[in-house]
Amino acid sequence: MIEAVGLTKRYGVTLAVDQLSFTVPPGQVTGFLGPNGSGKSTTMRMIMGLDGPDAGGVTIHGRRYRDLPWPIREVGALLEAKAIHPGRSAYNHLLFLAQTNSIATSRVDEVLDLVGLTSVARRRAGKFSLGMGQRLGIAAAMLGDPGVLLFDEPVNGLDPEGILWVRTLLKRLAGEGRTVLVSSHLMSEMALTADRLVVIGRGRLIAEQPVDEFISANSTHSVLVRSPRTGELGPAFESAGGQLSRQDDGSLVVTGLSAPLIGDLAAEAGIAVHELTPQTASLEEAFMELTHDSVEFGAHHGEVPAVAGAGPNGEGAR
Amino acid sequence: MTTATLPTDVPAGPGVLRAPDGHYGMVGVLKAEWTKLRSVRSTAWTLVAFVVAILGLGIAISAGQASHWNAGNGPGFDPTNVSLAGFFLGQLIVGILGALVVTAEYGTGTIRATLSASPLRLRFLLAKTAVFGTLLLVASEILSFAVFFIGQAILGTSAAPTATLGQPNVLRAVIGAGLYVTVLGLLAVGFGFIIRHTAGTIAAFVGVVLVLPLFTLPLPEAWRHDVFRYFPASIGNQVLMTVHGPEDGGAFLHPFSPWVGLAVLTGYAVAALVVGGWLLNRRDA
Ligand SMILES: Nc1ncnc2c1ncn2[C@@H]1O[C@H](COP(=O)(O)OP(=O)(O)OP(=O)(O)O)[C@@H](O)[C@H]1O
Ligand SMILES: [Mg+2]
Repeated sequence: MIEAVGLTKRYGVTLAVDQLSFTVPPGQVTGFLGPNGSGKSTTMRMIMGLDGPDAGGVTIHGRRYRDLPWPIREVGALLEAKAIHPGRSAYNHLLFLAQTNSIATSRVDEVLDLVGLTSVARRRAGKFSLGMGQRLGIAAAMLGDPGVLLFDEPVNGLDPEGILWVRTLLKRLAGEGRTVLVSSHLMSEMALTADRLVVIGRGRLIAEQPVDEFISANSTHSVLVRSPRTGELGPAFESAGGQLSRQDDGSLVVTGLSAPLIGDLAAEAGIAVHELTPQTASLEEAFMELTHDSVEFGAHHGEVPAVAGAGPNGEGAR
Repeated sequence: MTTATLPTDVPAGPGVLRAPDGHYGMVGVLKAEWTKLRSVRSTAWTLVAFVVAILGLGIAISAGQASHWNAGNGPGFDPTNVSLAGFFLGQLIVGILGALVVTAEYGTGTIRATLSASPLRLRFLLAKTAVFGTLLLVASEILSFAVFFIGQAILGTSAAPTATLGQPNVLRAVIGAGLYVTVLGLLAVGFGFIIRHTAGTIAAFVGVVLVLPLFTLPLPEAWRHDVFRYFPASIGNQVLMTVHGPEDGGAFLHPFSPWVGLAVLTGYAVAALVVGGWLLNRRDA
């Protein structure tokens, strides 16, 4: 169980994390979601006691990180930035971590095997690919067999098989009753992995709820309408309570009205309709909609073309 | 690496590795620091450079004295000092090594792994200082004695005078040489914790050891000597000398005696480590 209360962190003039409060319960995968620069990594560093908050605090099982008697037996973390000397072997990196917390040396071989790095364990870590580095980070997180695990963008750089493996791992860890917090800026990834979501934007909490609640609360349903006479249809939809968005190709996207009602309204007006397509916003859109106003480094705030159905798995967005 | 052999097993539930009672301790952190020190090549290479500097220069300068010996060199000749000549170069190498053991943590991000496992940061600083200091002390004392005996043997092949450990000040100079570079290495560790960047730390170290003393030259004669004796260069001179004639220190008089000098130098190292530790506790990792 992780509890953050009023966490605030400033870097110079940048307010990276702003009065953030949330909890991460055991037995579930909690997705930590936010656009680039929203403060996910900063929050994780504060959980680990690496960066000190300017206000507020965060505890793990009621204790500050620095007060944990056996830190990496209680909390394991894969942080964003590489934390490995390129000249040191994976084995020796894990060995020194194990020694610090009096973890048996045999456990080092065990986690190397777990992540599939046994054959390269004695090679300099600087020669590792992005994915291998990521696996080594996961091995380090698992080393102390901790009850609390933090993963900052764990699938970064992994191939599809690796992504699937991480997903399975996260779910199993949570299934064993562990507390799992995993960050991502991809809603689609979280939809496949997480049970709960903590969504932040510009360092502030936007939502904290189960994934399915989040989706139903935030996805907008709309209907695409094509007709030769959309100009006349518009007012009829509006007076029935719909919201219109005119597309470049002359079609209308109507929100707030169901497809059958739109059809009936068109029939009443005696106007032919060539297409009537209900559209479900993808998770990615729900997420973007929600964080729309809080995107730190958004290139533009233009319209995102609507795509029916959930977004593709894994990579792609932004 | 083959992705085909990826296991999907994860270990059984939390508590498989039951933590012992108590708290992670100093012994584990010391072991970890030793593992870190021995598991990167830069340690080995820097130590090789250190050995080559001490033995190489000691042998070369002893051999030079032996082959050009004439009796006119007589009274001021200090055979111990000649054999320990390599320590003037060695002090720079330990500075580089001392800087690296700290700044490599920051440069590579290892510091985040380190402090995750040992969030009590001063415990980490103490362990690193102790492990590095011990390695340096053992290596430099062995080298100091070795190069002393080798140097005396070389000088002994000529008519030049040679020293024995039993003569006045000789044992002090040989032991002192190792202590001097060890303390300097720890000073560099302290600088590393303060500055955190390799180049900056080495520059600061070289500045204090070699460059800063030069700025005393334009100072008024009346107090130049009183300032200069506080510099490592002056302290090192005194430690490595066994014959204290009127011309000692060249342009600089009133140096600290060797033991007082070493105590002053130790004070600097402790001060740098205290400031470094204070900053380590305050700053984001
Ligand atoms: N050490 C630091 N010094 C200065 N600014 C920082 C530092 N770390 C983070 N920031 C700033 O704080 C804000 C939050 O950054 P953070 O890395 O926590 O975001 P993030 O959610 O992890 O983003 P991403 O999805 O890109 O990883 C950003 O504006 C970032 O530039
Ligand atoms: Mg991040």
